[in-house]
Amino acid sequence: MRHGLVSLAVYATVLTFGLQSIARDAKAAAEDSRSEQAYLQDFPVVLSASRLSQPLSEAPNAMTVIDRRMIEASGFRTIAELFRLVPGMYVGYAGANTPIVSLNGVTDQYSRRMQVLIDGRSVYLPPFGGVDWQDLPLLIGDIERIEVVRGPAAASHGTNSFYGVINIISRDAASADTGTVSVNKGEMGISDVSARLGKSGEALDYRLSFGYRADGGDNPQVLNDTSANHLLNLRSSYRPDSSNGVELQLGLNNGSYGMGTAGRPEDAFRTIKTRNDFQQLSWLHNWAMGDETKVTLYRIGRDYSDPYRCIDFPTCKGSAPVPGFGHDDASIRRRDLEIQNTNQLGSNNRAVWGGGVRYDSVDQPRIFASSRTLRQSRIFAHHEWRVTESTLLNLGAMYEDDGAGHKNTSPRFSLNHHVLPQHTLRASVSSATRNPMMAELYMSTPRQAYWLNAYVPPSIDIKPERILSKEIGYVGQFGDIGLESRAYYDKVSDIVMLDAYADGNFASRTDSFKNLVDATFKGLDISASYRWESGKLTASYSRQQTSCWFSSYPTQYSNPTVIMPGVTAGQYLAQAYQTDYLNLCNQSVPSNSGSLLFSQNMLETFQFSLGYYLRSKIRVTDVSSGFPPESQMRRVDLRLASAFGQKEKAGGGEMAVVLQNAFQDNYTGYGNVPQRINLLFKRRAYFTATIYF
Amino acid sequence: MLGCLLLYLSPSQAEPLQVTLAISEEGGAYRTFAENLLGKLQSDKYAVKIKRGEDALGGADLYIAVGMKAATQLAAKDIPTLNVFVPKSGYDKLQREAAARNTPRSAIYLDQPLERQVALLQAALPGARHVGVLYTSAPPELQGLRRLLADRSMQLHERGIDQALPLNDALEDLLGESDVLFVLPDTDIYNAGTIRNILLTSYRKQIPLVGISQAYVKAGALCAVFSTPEQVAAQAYAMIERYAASGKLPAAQYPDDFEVSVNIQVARSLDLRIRDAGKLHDEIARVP
Repeated sequence: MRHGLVSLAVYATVLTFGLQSIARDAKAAAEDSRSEQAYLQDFPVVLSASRLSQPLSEAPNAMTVIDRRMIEASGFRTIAELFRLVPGMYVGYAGANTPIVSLNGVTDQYSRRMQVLIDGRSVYLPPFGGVDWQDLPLLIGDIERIEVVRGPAAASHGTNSFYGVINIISRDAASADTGTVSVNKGEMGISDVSARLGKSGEALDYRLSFGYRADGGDNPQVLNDTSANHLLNLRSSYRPDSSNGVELQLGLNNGSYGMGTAGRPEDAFRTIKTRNDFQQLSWLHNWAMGDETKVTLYRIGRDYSDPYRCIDFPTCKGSAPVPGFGHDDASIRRRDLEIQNTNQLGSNNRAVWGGGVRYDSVDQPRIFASSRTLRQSRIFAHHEWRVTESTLLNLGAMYEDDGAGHKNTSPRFSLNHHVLPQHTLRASVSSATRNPMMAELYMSTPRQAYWLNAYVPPSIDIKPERILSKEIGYVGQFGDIGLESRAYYDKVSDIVMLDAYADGNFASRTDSFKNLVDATFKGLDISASYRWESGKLTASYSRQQTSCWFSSYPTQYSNPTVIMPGVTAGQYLAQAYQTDYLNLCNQSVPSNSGSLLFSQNMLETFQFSLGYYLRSKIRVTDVSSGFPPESQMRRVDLRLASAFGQKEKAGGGEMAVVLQNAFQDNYTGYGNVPQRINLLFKRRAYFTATIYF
Repeated sequence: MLGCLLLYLSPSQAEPLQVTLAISEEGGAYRTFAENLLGKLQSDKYAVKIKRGEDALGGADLYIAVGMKAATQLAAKDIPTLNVFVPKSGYDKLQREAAARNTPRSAIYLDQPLERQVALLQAALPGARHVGVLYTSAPPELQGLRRLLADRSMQLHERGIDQALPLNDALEDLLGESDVLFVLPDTDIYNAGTIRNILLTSYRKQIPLVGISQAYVKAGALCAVFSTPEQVAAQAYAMIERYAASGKLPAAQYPDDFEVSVNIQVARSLDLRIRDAGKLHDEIARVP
């Protein structure tokens, strides 16, 4: 033990000196040990699999991404309008407060053939299956990005991912360290104000937004299409440790919407009240090796109250002393639970699988004899297999039970091949179903009470509509220019439509719904983007064509009863369907549509942007042949912004002027009654100011 | 006297070499290192003791200081020490301040040589031209980094964080002019509280982050080069063997063996065609 003895010889002095030295260097030592921590510290998983988006070149479907920069540059103040930036997408208005958004054609004002998700929460609602875009408790400024899947994607996005999927991703709770107040003021009575504040910390983040949005509508003398709503949106996340995250989201929207058409007493001017709320709780667990499990539970509530709905058309139209109006109240609830797992299987395989159950219920006494509930359930699996370094195979399917007696499987297959590192070809075949909506299944209203015609639930079971989409696509990058293009052929079977005079009584009309029509949609999309240091340009063009035919005939299609001299009921119906539906089918998509968005930063603080939106004429299916289609749109929007201070930093801000339809190329919109047909979308301007604090 | 002492340390000497491991922290990488090294030292040649935290130092022929805290304690003493888990800058500082300069003392640095880090940067992102770095005070290796990047036609963009330029502002600025964010060890900038925002912001701007440990890659960095505790233990063992044989410690050195880790999901999401970790490793292993 000599070594020890030797050491001991100097031990005392060294120890004394050492202690002094340690005291003196305590601070330095702390710094040094921190620098060791720089290498040894542990972190939570931030960019988890569910947060990462698939690059366009590896996505199984064509996809358009609208990011925050594009949203700002567009100058749009409502969410629905943003979809003008998506190739082939139709954005129409049945009044300024009733947007219609659809991909592909054969839509009516209750556009119901798309999945719409906000942070994974499905917001198309019964009984009609559309989205009340104005009524979503979400501010446009809280949107981080929107991914629009152009094509069926049930395997990855769930029920109703039929024509496509709108996937809205809101700003992360951690992204709001700076407070924001923003005001819009302008023509057509635009008066919006919103505020956002938040805090991000090591374990807890939150973002809270409030807003008031209002405008006086497009043509207030003819259409009462005003809107005003108050909304609140909270997103908060808590990370107890590095492998778990819990997120809570809450939203509330109270809306007041004008309704009514001048000169139509049965559609009197009145104000509808709505209340939308949601609560969403999700838990994300990161397993080792990049696997994760996500459980999401949410509830959506929508209450709708029309205080003055015509419930007796003859009285409403006449001057009877007791007008035939009454309350129309609806209470809609959705509860949904989903579990989703992502497994990384080696470096070349990834699987996403899970299941969910959903309860949808509607209580609307005017259209349903009793309150209705559907319990839907689904399981899904999606597999991504990197066959070779340059070839990716996506395989997936969803199996669902719609709760109304139908069980469907929707498979999808796609092959992406990187021909060159920056150039990818994609071939895909995908399918989806659209389950019949409650209104289609159960609506029951007397004649001239809620609608002009009576409705009864169908006597023949309505099958889910089915789509099969075949597509070849290309995604490429030429330096700073990105290019994306696809050609597609979609076959849609068993489209549910009105089955007129379903009960065979041609004197008193009673309708129902039935699977009646098959359609094909063919088209070509092309999008390009170019980004340079001080600006960006995105452009898209879409050419579409559709045709429709009967897959099965209306119930009374062969009715031999003579109802007019020389005309049988069947002949009459055949003619009516031919004129009003089949012949108009090819007008239900715009044959040409496109958009261009250019933005350029100038002189340090200015940003100029220009949006050009093109759409040839179009007619949605509930506008009959007696009325003209929506006219061609060639619209230019301009925006000029001046920033001060730093963007999104306390003390910074921005002022902007937006001029929509700057060159007054006025166009008409949706019009299914004479009073609505020639209403024009005219030039309008508004001013916006934003301050960060 | 020291010379005489060393004569006793030849391998033929029956008396085992007394080795004391002084470990700065419990658990994690420290523990993995200690377990690995202990495994290797299990032979008659060595008698190993472990000193944790405030334990008395006790006598030994050679001390292995694991981490800066232990290194700082031992630096004050005139005893042969091999330091591991110490960043080069930290070790250099200790050396400058050391009381006795003749004692055998060496280190395996925690950091990877800059050449190796830059080689990874170039191998993983051959198209990158603008490399961004953040720091609270300019680290000594910055000049070397700038030169290494310039040699490979890359340009360094830097932002020092202070009260006038908070982290988020600096990050936004820097990402605006960089193709990649290159992590320099600085816990004021990169810590559990900030990493989320840094990764989310850079991901939103589609800028990859190159980290300095496996934890960065797990969190969402594109890639990192680092040495595992097992690799450091193997290198430490080799140095102990040499000490046992010759009574001399080799000069302080960077880790010989290293690993490359790639977050393939992040790479794919950023649409980066990156080679797998094994290929990147082999490529940068050729860097002298």
